[in-house]
Amino acid sequence: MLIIEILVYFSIFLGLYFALFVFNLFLENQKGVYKKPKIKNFPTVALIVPCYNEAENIEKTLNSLLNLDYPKEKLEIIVIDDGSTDDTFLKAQIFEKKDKRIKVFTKKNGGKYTALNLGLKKTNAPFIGSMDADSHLDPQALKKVMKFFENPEIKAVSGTVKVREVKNIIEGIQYLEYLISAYWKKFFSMIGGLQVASGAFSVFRKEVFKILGHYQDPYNCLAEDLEITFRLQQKNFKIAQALDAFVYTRAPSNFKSLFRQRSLRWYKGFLLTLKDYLGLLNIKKHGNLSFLLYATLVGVFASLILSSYTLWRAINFCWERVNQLFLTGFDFPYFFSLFWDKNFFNFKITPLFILGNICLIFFLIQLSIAKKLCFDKKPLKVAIFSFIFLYGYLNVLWWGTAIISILKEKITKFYV
Amino acid sequence: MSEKKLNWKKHFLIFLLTSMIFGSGFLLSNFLLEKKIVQLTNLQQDLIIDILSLETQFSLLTQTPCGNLNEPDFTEQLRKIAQELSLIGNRLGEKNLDFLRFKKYYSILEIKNWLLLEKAAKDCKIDLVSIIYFYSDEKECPKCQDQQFVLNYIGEKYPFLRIYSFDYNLELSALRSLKSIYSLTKELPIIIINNKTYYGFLNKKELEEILNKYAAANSNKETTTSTDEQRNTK
Repeated sequence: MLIIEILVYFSIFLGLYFALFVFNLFLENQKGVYKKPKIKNFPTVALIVPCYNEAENIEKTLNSLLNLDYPKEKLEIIVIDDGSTDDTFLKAQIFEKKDKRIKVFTKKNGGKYTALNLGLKKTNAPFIGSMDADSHLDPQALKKVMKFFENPEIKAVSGTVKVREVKNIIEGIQYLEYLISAYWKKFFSMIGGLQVASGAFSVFRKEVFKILGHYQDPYNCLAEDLEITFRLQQKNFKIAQALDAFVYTRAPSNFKSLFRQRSLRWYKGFLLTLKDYLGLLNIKKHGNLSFLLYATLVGVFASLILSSYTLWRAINFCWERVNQLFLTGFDFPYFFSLFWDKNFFNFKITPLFILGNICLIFFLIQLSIAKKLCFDKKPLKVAIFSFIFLYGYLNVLWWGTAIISILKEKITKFYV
Repeated sequence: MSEKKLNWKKHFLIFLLTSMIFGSGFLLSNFLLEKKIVQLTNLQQDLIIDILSLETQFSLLTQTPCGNLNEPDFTEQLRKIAQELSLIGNRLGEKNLDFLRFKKYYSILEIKNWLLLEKAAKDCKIDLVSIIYFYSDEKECPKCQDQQFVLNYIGEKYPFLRIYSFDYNLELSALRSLKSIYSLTKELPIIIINNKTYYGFLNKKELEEILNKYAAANSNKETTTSTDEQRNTK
């Protein structure tokens, strides 16, 4: 029990440390969050839209690209149909006929990264962006991203992903997660610690691909964005995050698809890709990025400890209450009267309770900063409540299953 | 690479700040605990003054001063002390010496309260049934926590009940005497209702059956007494 308590306190300490670290970054860098220089001559940008069975979304996505506030002659939209079995290609072709900026190609299905690589071959633009086919760009997003390239050292700029619609708790939780993540990523990018230039919308200098080569996805986890970012980081190329360049994505709306996205794609992809770029963990070479990568890994461990502990406490609490209900012969009025007794929750003076509340306050401060920086006005009270109570457990589940999936594959390979 | 470079000085300052916030969590917790301990001490002092005052009245008047007996007040004070004690026990740990000292003090107060009320109940004709309950920790007595809960529940349902809980293993001479009076063996939980000892867990139904017998006996006694009184008046 003592060891568990020490681990719980240690995890809380780490959480507080990280919250203060981010808060300090915010205080130091808040003035330089948005890029203000006005560009007279915008460069040509090619936006590659890989799509596979996106007939439902492609029209809206292309319309959002056509509505971009960007000089018409400087924008190329390259749609790559990755062997869709629905009407994606036909629908995209209708757009190609209507607008010269759009070029549509089709190929045999080979995965998102292969579609992106075909797109790279089809353009000579000095700036190349990638864009998810189920996402919409804010009309100002591209201009805001391109402002960062005024600095010749910046090789890539990531947009800020927001959840398009919130219809249920699952989407609500993701909405908040994306907001906080955008805020963190912005300040991490300012210290060279961005871990992923979002696949939903990012723009690169063409030279990046000449130096680093094409997109790759060796583990088939749709983690090509993470992989290319790690390669950029390996070369110490600067990557920026445009906090006000919004891309609205459709988040998984049910538990199953969210689980697949996180466990089997994102987190599994992160761990496997990191294994290939272990050099990034060299603090002497990669400083802040290494620190943040370690923080991610230690964070997984800390959230595992905290979630298991709180879950165990919650189960214990519920079991005790059920037992008490049995002991009173299901005397519901007496049972519910216990909940109004101020001494019923007799954990109020423990350091754990006080520190837990301090962490909660830090979380709410961070959320309000994130909302302010991302110009977000949705109240989302239910989502905030659900996030506080569920996110930790979901996170552990996703990371846990990602780790198990990797181990399972290793064991299978070993025996076969 | 310059922007990527880790600023160790800043990390050290953040570490210090985190430690300070972390430490303040513990300090605040200890401060609240100290306040609880002061509260508990005051409550115990108040109760001992009330008990001593009543005992002195007993001695002065050589009879029970029924008019001045505020029995529910005593019980409420004891209940509050028990709650505070439980909070402090959770925080300090059951084996903490300070906590054990408070527990012993509380047990003595319980015994004094019990003796006083037994006498008062007899002299002032108050219908009270006392339950003496012996418990121990979860290792020794896994059912004790459930028994305590059932007793609390029964205590709420039957206002004439007075429940006194004692830790069987508490090193206290007064408790040793109490155990020897009832010749108790260590088969926990132990419940003594009006001098009858019950070993093992008693559920709600079993306890209610026992208590209903006492309630019926008391009401019969009352009816008989009032009939006798009526006869005498005639």
